[in-house]
Amino acid sequence: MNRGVINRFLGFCIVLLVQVLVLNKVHILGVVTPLLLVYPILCFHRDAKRVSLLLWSFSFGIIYDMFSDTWGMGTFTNTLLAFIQPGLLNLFSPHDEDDEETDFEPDIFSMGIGHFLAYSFFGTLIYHTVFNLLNAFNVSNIVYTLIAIGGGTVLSIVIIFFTELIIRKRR
Amino acid sequence: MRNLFDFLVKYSYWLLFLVLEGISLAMLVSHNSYHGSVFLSSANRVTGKVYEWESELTSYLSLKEVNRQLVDDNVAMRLRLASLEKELEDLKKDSMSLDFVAPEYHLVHAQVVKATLHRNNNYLTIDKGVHDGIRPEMAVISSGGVAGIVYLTSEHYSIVIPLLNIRSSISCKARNSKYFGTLQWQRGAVNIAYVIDVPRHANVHKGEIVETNGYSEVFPAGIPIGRILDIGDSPDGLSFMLKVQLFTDFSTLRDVCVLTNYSRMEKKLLEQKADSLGIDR
Repeated sequence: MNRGVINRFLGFCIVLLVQVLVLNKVHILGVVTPLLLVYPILCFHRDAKRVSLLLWSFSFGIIYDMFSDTWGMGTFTNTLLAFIQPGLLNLFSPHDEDDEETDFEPDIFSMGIGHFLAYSFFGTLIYHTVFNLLNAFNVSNIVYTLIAIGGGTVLSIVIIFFTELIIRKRR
Repeated sequence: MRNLFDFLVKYSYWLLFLVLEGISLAMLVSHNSYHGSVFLSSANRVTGKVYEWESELTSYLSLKEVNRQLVDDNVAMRLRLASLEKELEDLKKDSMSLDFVAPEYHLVHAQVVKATLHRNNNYLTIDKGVHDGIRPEMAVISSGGVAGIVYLTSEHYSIVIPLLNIRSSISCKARNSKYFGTLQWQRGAVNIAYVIDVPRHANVHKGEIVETNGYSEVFPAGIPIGRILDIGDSPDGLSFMLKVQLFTDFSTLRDVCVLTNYSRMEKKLLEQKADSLGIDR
C-alpha cells in the first residue's frame, strides 16, 4: 500500500462526499446538476495501469450509485470514461516535449491551461451526455436532457478549473 | 491453447471493460426487481447513516421555519377539531348514537433523511423501516397531504416513491365531483402535477381541492393532494387534464407519517394464498 494509492483513495472519497452532500443538491433551472466524479478519473496519470483505472472508477461508481439511488448510471458512466481516459489524455497532452516516456499527471500546469481545459471539456461532456441519457432513458424530455448535459458540463468545468488552481498552487 | 491464453492476456483490459459495463447495465435494467436491491441503494445501513448525520446537522438551520409551520398546522387543526366537534354534537341530537369504529390505519412518524427532486425518478429516504412496522406499498403523508408510497424497505430505512416520480400514479378525484382520474407528474416543476383521464362531462372547477378517492386501497379516501390551477385538454383531446398545485412542499419536506394498514396486508396475503390453492372466490 503506497502513498499514491492512499492519496487516490482520499481524493475519490473527498470528491464523492462533495458530490453527494453538496453538488447533488444543486439543480439550476430544475435539471442542471454538476457531476464532479469525472475529475478524479481525468486526473489519473499517464502510466497508470488501465485495469486499475477501470477498477477504481467502477468501484466509486457503485458507491456513488448507492448514495444517490441512480442504480448503475454512475457505474456505467464511470467505467466508460475510465476506458477512454488514456486515449483522451494522449490526444490532448502536449507532444513536443522530450519527456514522452516519463510518467506525467494531467493537471493545469503540466498540460497548460488550453490543453487541460480542452481535455477536461471533452471528458466532462462525454460523462454528462452518457449519464443524462441513461437517466432520461427516453426522448420525450429531450430538451431537459440537453439543458442538463450543456449546463452540467459548463458548471463542472468551472468547478474543476478553480479546484485545479487552488490545489496545484498550494503544491 | 497457448494462443488463446496470449489473446486473453493481451485483451484482458477489453474483457474487464466489457464485464464491468455488463454489470452496470444489469444493475441499471434490473432495478425494477426492487426487493433484492436494498443493498445498493440509499436504504443500506452505511449510506443511510451518512445521510442521517447530514440531515441532523442541517435540520438545525431550518428549525425556525419548521416551528412556524407546526404552529400554523396546530392552529388549523384546532379550528377544524372545534368545527367537527360542533358538527358531531349536532348530529348526535337527531340520530342514534354512533358506534365507534376501530381505526384501520395507524400512524408511524418518520423523518426524510434524503430526497431527490430533479430527476425523472425521484426518491425519498425515510428513517423508519421494517423494524418500525413499515412495509412496501404503504401510504406516506405529510402535513400538507399525500407525499408518496413506500417502495423499498430495509431494517431501519425505507425508500419512498414521492408524487414527483414519473412512475408514480395515484387515483384521485376533485372533492365535489364523483368522476376520478389519475395523478401523474412530469419532469420540471416540483410543485405541479397533472390529473389525466378526467371525463369531459365531469363538473370540475379551478381552485377545487383534489383528493384521494380510496379506490387504490393504499390511501384512504379524502386525503388532500392539491388544488386545481388550470383545466386543459389531454393530448388526445378525449378527456380533461387538470393542472394541480401540490399541497406537499417537497423541497422543504422533513416530517412525514406512514399509514400502516396491516389488515389490508393480511387480506392481500390471504387472497394470494387462496389464489395459490386454486380456490374460486
